Amino acid sequence: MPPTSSRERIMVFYSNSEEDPLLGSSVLESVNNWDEGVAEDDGRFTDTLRQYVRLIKFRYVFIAVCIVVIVIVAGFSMTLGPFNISFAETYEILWSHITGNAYPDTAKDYIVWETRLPRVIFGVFGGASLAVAGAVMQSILKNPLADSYTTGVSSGAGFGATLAMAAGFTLGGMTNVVIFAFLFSLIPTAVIVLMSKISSASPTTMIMAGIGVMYVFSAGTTVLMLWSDPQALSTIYSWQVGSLSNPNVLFKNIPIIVVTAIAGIAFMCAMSGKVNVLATGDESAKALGIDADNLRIILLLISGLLAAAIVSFVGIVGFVGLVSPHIVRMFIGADNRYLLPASAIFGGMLMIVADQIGRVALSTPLPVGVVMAFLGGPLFLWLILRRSKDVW
Amino acid sequence: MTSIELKNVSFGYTEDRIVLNDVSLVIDKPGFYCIIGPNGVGKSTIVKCLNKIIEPQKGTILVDGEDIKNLKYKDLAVKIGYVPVFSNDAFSMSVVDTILVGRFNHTKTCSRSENLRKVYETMRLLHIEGLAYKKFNAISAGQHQKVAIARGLVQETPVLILDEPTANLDVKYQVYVMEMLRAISEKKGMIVLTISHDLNITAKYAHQVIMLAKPGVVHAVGTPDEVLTQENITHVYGVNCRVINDDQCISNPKIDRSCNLSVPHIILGEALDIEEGE
Repeated sequence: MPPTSSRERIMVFYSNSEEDPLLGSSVLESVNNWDEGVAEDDGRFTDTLRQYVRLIKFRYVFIAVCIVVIVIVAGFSMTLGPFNISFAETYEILWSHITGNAYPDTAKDYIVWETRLPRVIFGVFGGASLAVAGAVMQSILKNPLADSYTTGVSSGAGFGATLAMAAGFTLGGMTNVVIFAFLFSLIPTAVIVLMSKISSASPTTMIMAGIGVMYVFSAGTTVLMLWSDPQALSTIYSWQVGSLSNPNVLFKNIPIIVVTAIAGIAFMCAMSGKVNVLATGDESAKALGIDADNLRIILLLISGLLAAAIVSFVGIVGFVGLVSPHIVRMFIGADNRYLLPASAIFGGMLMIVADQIGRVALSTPLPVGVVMAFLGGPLFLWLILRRSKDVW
Repeated sequence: MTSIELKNVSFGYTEDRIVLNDVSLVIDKPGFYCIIGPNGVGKSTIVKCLNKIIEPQKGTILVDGEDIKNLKYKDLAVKIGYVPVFSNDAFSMSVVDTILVGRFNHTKTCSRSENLRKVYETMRLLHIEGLAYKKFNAISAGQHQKVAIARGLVQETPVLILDEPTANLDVKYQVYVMEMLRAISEKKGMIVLTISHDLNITAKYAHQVIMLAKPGVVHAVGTPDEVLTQENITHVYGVNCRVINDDQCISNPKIDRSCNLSVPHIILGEALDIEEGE
């Protein structure tokens, strides 16, 4: 039966939707309201907007609180040591350096500026780098377990450093260790990137690849440790747990770590809007105009560099990269535009707080990596138990 | 006016798993288009090809006369908005921020409050403005669907593609969403392309129906009463059915009932023997 003319008419496109007999008045009204937009004095809309601004303010407050804690703890950290320098004096010395004036007591000045400041700087910028690397890896691999540890970056660096120390390549000071650690830390990132290029791997496969590489390097490190002499072994060991007392934490190394951290973190923050899109999945990212595969590779490489730079100097500090982003998410949510900068500040804070506790808690100073695990573990478990169910 | 054209497009995930078989299709007028067809016939694959999520082995896809192979993702994204079946399972943001992601291509040109305004208007259209600050993971599957549709609408592209927009929605919202998409396509002169499984709602609201059949070919294209015939449905889906013309579902009081308007209504019968497994 051929369609009658009237039935044909009803299927046609009505350029004036009001005339469309299939559209009920309630839908038409909703669509018209949508098209006209919301009125300036719509109370519900202004409420929604106000709440959005309030949430953003809360995020800034969170960041500000962390910065205050960093400043205070940094002051305390610089009072520790055989030479007695007061809390206020440390700030005076720093301030005189910032303003370019000479501090009268040159001995105290030298101790704070040359020997105690590097520890704080490495702690803050190292914690920040690891936390941002962790946050980005978690978001783009869509995996709450992703960090420089589970992607193999840390164990790559660990293997490199162990190799340098076990083989006795430490003639030029510790510089060789740093270079080796850095070079080997690039291998796991390269493996993940190559795997994703070859087999268009999913985020889950990438993290599995990272874990695979991690095991290979860990086994390699163990073999090297079995072969090495007792003296090298103790150096290797202290490097393995990660500590801000590491011999590479020196004033002359500050520029490298600060420049890498600031450049890397700034880049990540600039990309944070894109990270948000990528975190919604590859298909939806591509549909929103983002080359998902390339962006993920770039972000992984930069995360790897950030983590490798710090691991090369202070050794394998676990936990801060994994846990900082999670704790920050509990406070301010998963929006990467705020998560990344807040994780950086929080990670820096966590690192020097843990280091401070490790130095004063017992008569023997504990390495920051150990404190982080001891305190961070239970803290993390507690937060998981009391979290609002929907964080991840 | 944006136009989409598929020329002899073939796609297979592997050599022996061909999903699309020489598909040609032109969509160059505004309206509400529904792609229907049984499982595994390439409905989602067509949509993914249109968005460059996957690349067909053969054939070309033209958007506004330009081969999408030569278009960058970001140039294509301004023309075609796409809402995949999405679930945000790792870390979820609030509903507002989730929808705001859809404004990604407007972040440089619009202020934050303008973008938020658009998001709010669209949440109101889908009656989810009350969920604004709920975490995406904390809301129901039907609400996820509304958020997904809202995220597609705020992109403000001349073409909007939705993969099963009525999945997980209750009956009222299945009707509401399809009616709304028809209204929006007419109001805004947009091309709205959806994949749909509900033949009756498709029959009522689609301007054009694209019916795919095994093995990944276009079986019929046309208005619902041209495409949704008893022969086509039985042939393509393997289900017995009756199609009646129903004039009772037209509720607009402006239309005089006596003028013999009707839409096809499909009453499904039993499934036929399955000839071969997948």
